[in-house]
Amino acid sequence: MTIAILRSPRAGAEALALVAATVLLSVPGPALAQARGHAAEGAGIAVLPAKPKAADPAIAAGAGSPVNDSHTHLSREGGIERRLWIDNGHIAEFGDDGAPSIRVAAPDEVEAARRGSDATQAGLKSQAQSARQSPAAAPGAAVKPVSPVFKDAGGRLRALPGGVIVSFKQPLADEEARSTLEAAGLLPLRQIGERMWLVDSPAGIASLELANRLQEEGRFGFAQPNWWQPKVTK
Amino acid sequence: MLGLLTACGGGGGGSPSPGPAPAPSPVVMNDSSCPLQYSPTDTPLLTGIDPLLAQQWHLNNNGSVTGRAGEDLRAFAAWQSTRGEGVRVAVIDDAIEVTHDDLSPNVVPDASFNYRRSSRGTAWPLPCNANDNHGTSVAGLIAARDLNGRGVAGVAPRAALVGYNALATSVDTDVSEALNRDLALNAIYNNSWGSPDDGFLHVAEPSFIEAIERGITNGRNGKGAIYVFPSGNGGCYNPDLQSTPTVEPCVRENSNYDGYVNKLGVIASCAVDANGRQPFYGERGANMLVCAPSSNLPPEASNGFTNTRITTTALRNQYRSDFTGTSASTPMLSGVIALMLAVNPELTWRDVRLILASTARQNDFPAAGGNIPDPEWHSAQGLNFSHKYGFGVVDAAAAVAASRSWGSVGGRASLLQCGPFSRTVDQPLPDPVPGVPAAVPQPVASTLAVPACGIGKIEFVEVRLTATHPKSGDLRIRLSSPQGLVSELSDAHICYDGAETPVNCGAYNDYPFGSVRHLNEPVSGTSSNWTLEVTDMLSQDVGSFVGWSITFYGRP
Repeated sequence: MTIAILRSPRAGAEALALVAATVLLSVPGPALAQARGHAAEGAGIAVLPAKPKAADPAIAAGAGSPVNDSHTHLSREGGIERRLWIDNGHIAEFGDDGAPSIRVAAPDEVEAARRGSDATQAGLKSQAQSARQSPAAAPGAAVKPVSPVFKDAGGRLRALPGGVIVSFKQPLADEEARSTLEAAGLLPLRQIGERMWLVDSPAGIASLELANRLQEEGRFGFAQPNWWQPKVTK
Repeated sequence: MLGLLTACGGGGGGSPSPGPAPAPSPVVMNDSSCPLQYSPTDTPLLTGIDPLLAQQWHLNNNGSVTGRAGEDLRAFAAWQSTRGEGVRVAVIDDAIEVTHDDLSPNVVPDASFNYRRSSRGTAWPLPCNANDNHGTSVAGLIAARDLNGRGVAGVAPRAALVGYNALATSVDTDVSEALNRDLALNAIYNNSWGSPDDGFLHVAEPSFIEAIERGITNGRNGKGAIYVFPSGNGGCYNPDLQSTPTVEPCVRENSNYDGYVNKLGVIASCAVDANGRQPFYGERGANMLVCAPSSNLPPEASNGFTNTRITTTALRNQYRSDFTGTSASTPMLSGVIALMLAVNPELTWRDVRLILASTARQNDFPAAGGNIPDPEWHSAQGLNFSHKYGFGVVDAAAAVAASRSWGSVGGRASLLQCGPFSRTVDQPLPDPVPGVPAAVPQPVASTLAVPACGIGKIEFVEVRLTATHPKSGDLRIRLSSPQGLVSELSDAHICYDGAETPVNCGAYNDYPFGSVRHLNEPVSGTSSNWTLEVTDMLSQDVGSFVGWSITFYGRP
């Protein structure tokens, strides 16, 4: 059976009205009855409810959450392009165990984290080496790396603890890999696969920018940020 | 034997050791900041029946606990041949209580790996708090020790276990490393995790793809590591209603939206309940290979202690009977694979997939006691396939028997690849018109005549789609083979953002779908036409079918 599905805002309409060809299927429940109020039922013909108007550029573009363009970011990883937005209200702070705590951001903290310079922004200039404070590079560092909290269209969280994964187009011996990375201005931290290496970068958006730059330059098989992204246990 | 845990904090008790307290051990087992703390003690390995075995209906269901007799893994029959001796299984999860009395006899000493930063590199991927309770339950389903007078038995109760708590950090580097750790020694990597089951298109990270590729190429000295993942729990479960909807709304997740299980070399496990039916959370998908048992109780029943769920190991040396989802079916499948490899260690990762598919049993007979299967089953190439069940429910006894005499098809090196073959389409997708009775969605079909190549038996198909549409969930996508077999790659569905507003489900920008549906089918026969059909099922938003490509993997 061919089924057409019509979209409506979940809050008001509990999501769906199903139309099978010209037959409106029965969808019980008060919320769905409310939804059907948008549809004129007569002679088996359903007049479909309107989809929600796109209230902002992001929705108009099919992207999802309202955004400020300056807070929209693309992550280019191999052949993938991810569109992400920064949550202006929260910050990810990476602790010694490597997992972040997501907390309410202090004023200007998100902006500081976007620049990957949390320590200096906090006045901790004596630890200006915070640019090296990826958890991978400096476990137990005195200043905890912080990252903006990114969200994708579905509202799922990501953050950047620091580090970029690069993959050589061919496997290289350890010494050759290190020298190649260093020649590219990168600090190799450790090998994580036959061809993959973790190279250093500051926590926060600097990781994303470095990964995107390396990806675009094309000298590696791919480059991607070392994302923190919670996996779903099933 | 180092094994018995002492768990303190979080409501747990103190040291259970009677008599004079032993001197504190210098072994650092967990982060000092963790609410759960462990200390090593010696525990004798006992003998005796496993007292909770009778509740583990998934191993051998005689109908006395729940469901229908025979709706199980047929593990007891397989145990007549093997219990998984000599096969090493890695559990990648949030944490694994490797000190658990029912796990520790099978845990390989000093081989597990802790990814928590402050104690990284120790062999103790232990739970830090009570929420880290997933991996321990997963591990018990694979290889809890049998006949030790304690708790439960795993599907492969003499297999060797290692634990990697890469989800404790959930950063891409740790996950990739875990998937490739000890590739020569680990036969199976169990992963009861994945992308969110929210209807969005989730593309796997390049680091994940490369790790899997390396594993199937180099693992087990070229025979390939076996990667087992869940198909997901996003079927018709509605997170808002917290119940089992019989009709809409529901998430309508399809396992083909999860990039991890679209990758060649990943086995996607679905679930069936104790009656052999699809549970309420079950997804559809063309990439699901086989199912294994799990429960079918909605969340509101979670407070009740019920045997219809899955019984396995739990934190603090305890047990639970409330495990569920494809997180449960996945380790059961890993356990069966361990049994297979125990009787034939020379099986490659491809052999394992073929044996599982060819020995799985057809399930879901709607009429009680009847023999008429669910109408979604289709037979071809001597196999039955359903987008609800893959090739059916894994049969441990049959799989083990077939493994003994299986003639290997080879590993990654001998796997043939045809393609990618691509076609530009650039056609608008007709939009169904609201209010018009004849508003039947019209598909746009594109056909590729695949040139003759050496594959006579397909093992995996990858389809990449590029389409522009502001609401990609509007699109239904079907792949048809020359023989008329259909891979249902996507159904019309709706995605919501955090504010409950319908949004785009993600971009079809060379998005990779995986399919096992065409297993053993020839790439071309009397016809060589493969057709991809894209249909805009929802009104109001319009888009275009830009192009697609197809790649075949298989053998002559």
